[in-house]
Amino acid sequence: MKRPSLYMGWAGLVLALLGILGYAVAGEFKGLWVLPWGLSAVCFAVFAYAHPDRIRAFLTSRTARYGAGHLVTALLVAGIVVFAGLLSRNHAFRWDLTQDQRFSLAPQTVQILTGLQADVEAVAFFQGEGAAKLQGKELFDLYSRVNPRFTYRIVDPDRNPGQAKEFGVTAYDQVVVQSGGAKEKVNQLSEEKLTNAILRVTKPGKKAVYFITGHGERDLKDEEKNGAGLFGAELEKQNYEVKPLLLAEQTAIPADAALLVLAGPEKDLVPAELDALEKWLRSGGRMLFLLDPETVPGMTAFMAKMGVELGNDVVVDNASRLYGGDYLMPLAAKYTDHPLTRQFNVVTFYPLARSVDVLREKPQGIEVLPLAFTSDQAWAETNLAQLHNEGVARLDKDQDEKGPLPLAVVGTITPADPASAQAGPPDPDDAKAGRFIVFGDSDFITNQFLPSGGNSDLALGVVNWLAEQADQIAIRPKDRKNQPLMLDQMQARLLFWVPVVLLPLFVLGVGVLVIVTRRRG
Amino acid sequence: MRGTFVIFKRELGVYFRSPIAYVVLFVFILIAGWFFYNSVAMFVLQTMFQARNPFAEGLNATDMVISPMFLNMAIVLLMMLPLLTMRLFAEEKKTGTFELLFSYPIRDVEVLMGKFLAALTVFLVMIALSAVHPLHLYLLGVGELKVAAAGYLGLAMMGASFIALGVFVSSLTENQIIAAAVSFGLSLFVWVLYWAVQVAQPPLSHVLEYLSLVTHLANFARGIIDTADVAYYLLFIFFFLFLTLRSLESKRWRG
Repeated sequence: MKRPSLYMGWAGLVLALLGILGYAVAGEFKGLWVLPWGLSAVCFAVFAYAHPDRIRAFLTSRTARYGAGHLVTALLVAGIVVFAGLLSRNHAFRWDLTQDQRFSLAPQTVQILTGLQADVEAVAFFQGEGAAKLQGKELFDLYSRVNPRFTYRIVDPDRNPGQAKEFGVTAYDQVVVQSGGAKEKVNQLSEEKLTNAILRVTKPGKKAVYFITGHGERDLKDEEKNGAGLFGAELEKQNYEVKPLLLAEQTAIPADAALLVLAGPEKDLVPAELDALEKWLRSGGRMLFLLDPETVPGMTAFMAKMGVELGNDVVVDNASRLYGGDYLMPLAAKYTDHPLTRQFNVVTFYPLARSVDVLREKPQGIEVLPLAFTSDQAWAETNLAQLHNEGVARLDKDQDEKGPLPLAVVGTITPADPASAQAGPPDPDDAKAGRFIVFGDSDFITNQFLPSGGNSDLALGVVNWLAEQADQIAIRPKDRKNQPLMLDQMQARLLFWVPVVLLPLFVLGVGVLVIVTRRRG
Repeated sequence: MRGTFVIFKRELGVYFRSPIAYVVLFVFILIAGWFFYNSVAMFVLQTMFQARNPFAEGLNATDMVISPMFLNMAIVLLMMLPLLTMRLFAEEKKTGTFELLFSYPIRDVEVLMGKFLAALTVFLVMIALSAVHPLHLYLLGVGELKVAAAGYLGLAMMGASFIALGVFVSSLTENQIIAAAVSFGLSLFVWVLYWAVQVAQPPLSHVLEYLSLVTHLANFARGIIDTADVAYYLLFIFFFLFLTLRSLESKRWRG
């Protein structure tokens, strides 16, 4: 019969285990949770006082000595294994055995990454655990493997709406690349886009956007409702340098201009100015035209040379009433499938706009597409006298064109060199070509209307697309080779028989043969 | 070294002179063949659907047949390898030959390596036979052999990891069924560790992702050989063989 104090040792052990369990569940060490620890200490103390001989015997036993030694070596080896694992992860080398090097970065990307002088972070806004996140993560891992100065962070915009707002993210799967103070948003992540974004945010110097002045254009310093101060500020936030350009004083367009904007001139440009603009466009320049109705009649001929038909009309749109707008404030909810608007599906408003269409006979080397359309309840009112004098707008079937009417067009000009002339129609996303966009309205970028609907997103998107640098790097996406497989009847039969019947039978046959010969032998 | 060879030969004899190896091989190759046939049949079917679509793209036998094949085989192996390893030490303990084994002038590490390599050999024969499938596909004109080779390297290393784990569990018990059940459970658990990656927060989720057996195989199966993945499997194997050795040695000092 053991003395009760012998059981105290066991009780102490059990209580200590309970204490650990309690701490694991509760996660705090106070109040009632301390109780088992205290009791366990008491039990051990009683046990140690009553049986010092047993404790001495246990500590000097073979099991204890060997066990402790083994525990130490096991921990040591575990430590070494963990260390080796970390080391192998941080100094990994990989071979890509796929035919088309699908899981490797293009040499251009590697070159840019190895030359990185500053830390670059990509903040990716992926929703949940979709394929976009997996692919994005894989791409980012490849980048940070080449240069650890590239880091990334994946944020779920649904779980962290605050961060999404902070980075101005409006859609899922957008990635913001930042370095120093510079930020660049990437839609539809690809190696090409990511590499170019990295290139841009790390490049010193900003892209210059020139606003032509001298003809009563919208003023970028003006904070009143008809000014464009807000738009200028938004552009500066996007890392652009916004400058005025008095065209009449210049002999040539400044060399650092990434984009010229003609924002709502009230008076016509003189022929010398127009010539300069045309030359600039044809040599790969970029321009944004915002031309209000009943102004600048001289631009009609100029735009015709660019393959654009400026309507001498005012767009009347009944659908605007739904949004609480004036019927002279057409809205666009339909956009063409163009790199610029592919993911854009927000309504934009154009107070007092004219229609801008594609000219039927396109000049050579210029590709023009309509960009945004009104609803089909709109029409282009041509009887302007009646509109002004009587305040009446009526759809005259034989004179007024019915909606959907294009409110903006986008044009691409292939520079006039013979080599590219043979290459067929210009690619709308060709970074080297001249680009222009014409809106039949300039009010939509004013302080009053820029915040409405998708106006600000569209306007910034337009500027970004137009100002895309010609020195951007082209990386062909790695499309998988298409390998169709058609089988004739014999092949189809073999496809079943070889893996499912013949191979298993072969294994079975060998087995039976071996066992049978062994039994006999 | 000689000791390793002696044990290796003895163990291989047990596998191949009894029906064990053939039954395991037969079942594995039958299931693997069935998987392969179905995934190719599906691929042919999709080819026919896409033949009507002139803009079809992305129909790739490497992506759709070869890479999934390795993950499918890995699942079958997950269930079958514990059956190969369960007997290695448990049987010796049950029949009482365990003590005899250690009375030979052979070191523990040689016993362990002999048994490990024997199970590994059976396993390598299993997957080597299945290599007929990617070759079959290649002869039909699709699929990349280099990617298949990378996949086999990954599969071999993952199988070796399962075997190392199984050997360790077998050294702990004298009951073969317990050995099989525990090593299956452990392998499966290490396999699905990555499920928790989505729930866990960054530092922990990275650790879980790294520890999971299957995330590393996925790289190999797509044709990527990464030294970090190779190191992961080698360390995994080393660690469990080391633990087995400790467990064998404990026989000497535990009563």
